[in-house]
Amino acid sequence: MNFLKNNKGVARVIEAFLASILLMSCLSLVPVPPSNMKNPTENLVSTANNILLSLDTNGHLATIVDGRNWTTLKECVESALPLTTWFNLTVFDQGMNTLNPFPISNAGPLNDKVISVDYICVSQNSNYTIYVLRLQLSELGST
Amino acid sequence: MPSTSIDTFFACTILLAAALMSTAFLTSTMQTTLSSTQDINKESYLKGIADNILTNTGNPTNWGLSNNVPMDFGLAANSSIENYEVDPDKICRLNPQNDYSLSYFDLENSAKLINIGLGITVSQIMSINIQQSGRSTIGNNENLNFTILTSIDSKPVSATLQCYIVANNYLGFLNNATTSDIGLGFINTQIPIGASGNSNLIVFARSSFDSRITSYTIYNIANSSQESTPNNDLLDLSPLNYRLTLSTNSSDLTVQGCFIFSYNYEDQSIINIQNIQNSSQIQLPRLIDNSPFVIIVYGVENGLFFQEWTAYPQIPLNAGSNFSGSEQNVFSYIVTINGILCKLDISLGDVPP
Repeated sequence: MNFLKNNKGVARVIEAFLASILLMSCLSLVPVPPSNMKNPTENLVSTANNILLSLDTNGHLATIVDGRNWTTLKECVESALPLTTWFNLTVFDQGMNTLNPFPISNAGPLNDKVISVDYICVSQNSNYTIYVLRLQLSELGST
Repeated sequence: MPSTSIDTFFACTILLAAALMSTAFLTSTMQTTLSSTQDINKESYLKGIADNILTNTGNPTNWGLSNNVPMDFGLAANSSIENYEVDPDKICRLNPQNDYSLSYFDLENSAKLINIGLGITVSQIMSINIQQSGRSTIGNNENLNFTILTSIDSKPVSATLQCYIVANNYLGFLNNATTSDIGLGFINTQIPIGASGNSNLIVFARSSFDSRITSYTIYNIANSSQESTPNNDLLDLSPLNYRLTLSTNSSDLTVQGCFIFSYNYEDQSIINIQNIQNSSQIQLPRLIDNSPFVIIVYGVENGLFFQEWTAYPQIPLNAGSNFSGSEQNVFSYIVTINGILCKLDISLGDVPP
């Protein structure tokens, strides 16, 4: 009878359960980083700079923009990028007015992590027209 | 034992289990965080090495012209004013088929990479695929039909084609062929019967939107196969600094002539070199053309006509480690080599702890 009336132990077990739940709840608030956290942004910026610099040898990009050959410009950028990379190129004049009448892009962005690189090139004609090329890139699979 | 003691023991066990679980959870979380940070640092570190290899000329700056091992390794063209311009001779010295190529040991030492694997791959941006679609005899000639597919990264692109056929005492041209927007083109040619025994079809393709994207490929008509790299069974050809070094193991081999082809030009040198020594060299003309050059050397070996080919610069190529079963970090670049755009991948292995 004495054994059945002693309720102190039950209270301790309940306390222990509550303490465990509290402990586990606190731990669940600790942010878990992704297992393979790479740095896609840095690589994409480097890729964008490499492509723009390589394509612009001998003022090639400015010559294409001079001729308003937007399809050629799109094909040039597309040829230098892997199929898994989305791009959008916008060409501005000196006053930052958009020159391309339609988007120079290969599709819709693959995710919301988009990097943007501005590149200034100068036309080799007698006017030395300045253009600003804004290349935006996003990669399939980057999170 | 009183019941309170049993209950206390039970409660302590639960608490201890929870504490152990939380410790394990925290450890794994912290470990993941630390390794992710290390990954980012490692990637930045390796990217810096790859950038340095590509943008640095090395020491001496013109190490590609000689057969010496550079003190510092770098692929950038000497005194170039353009970014990402790579020296064609330095590229040739990476190709294992070149007599003056750097060994993997030399490559690692000159790049100052200790215990980090290095691999370099150079490829053409546009791929050309040739398939023989028909073969028939008309009079004294053999009629050959080919289907050509041009693509960039598996996406079909239109291109203009320049084709040459080199056979025994025969040189044929095919101008004005093109591939359509779906990358498909057809060529039809005739060569004299008997000449096709050891003949090659050389195809240059130039993209319709950028003349710097010009590629080549070779189709061996006798074997009905496309060759992306030369076999050089009879004669080793090593181009460097517009000089072609010839070497062979055959005792009865006579070189009669040499062709050099580019997209726009063709040049033939009639020569006669018998009993080739290792030092036998042919001076190549400096064609001014945004195009890879294909060099064909022909002659007679044991009374039979032969021809061997190589390209200048010697691309495509794979140099260094193949990273079989080990970590490989690839950094891709678009570079200019002799006025043509190419894809260059630098692969680096894991950083030692």
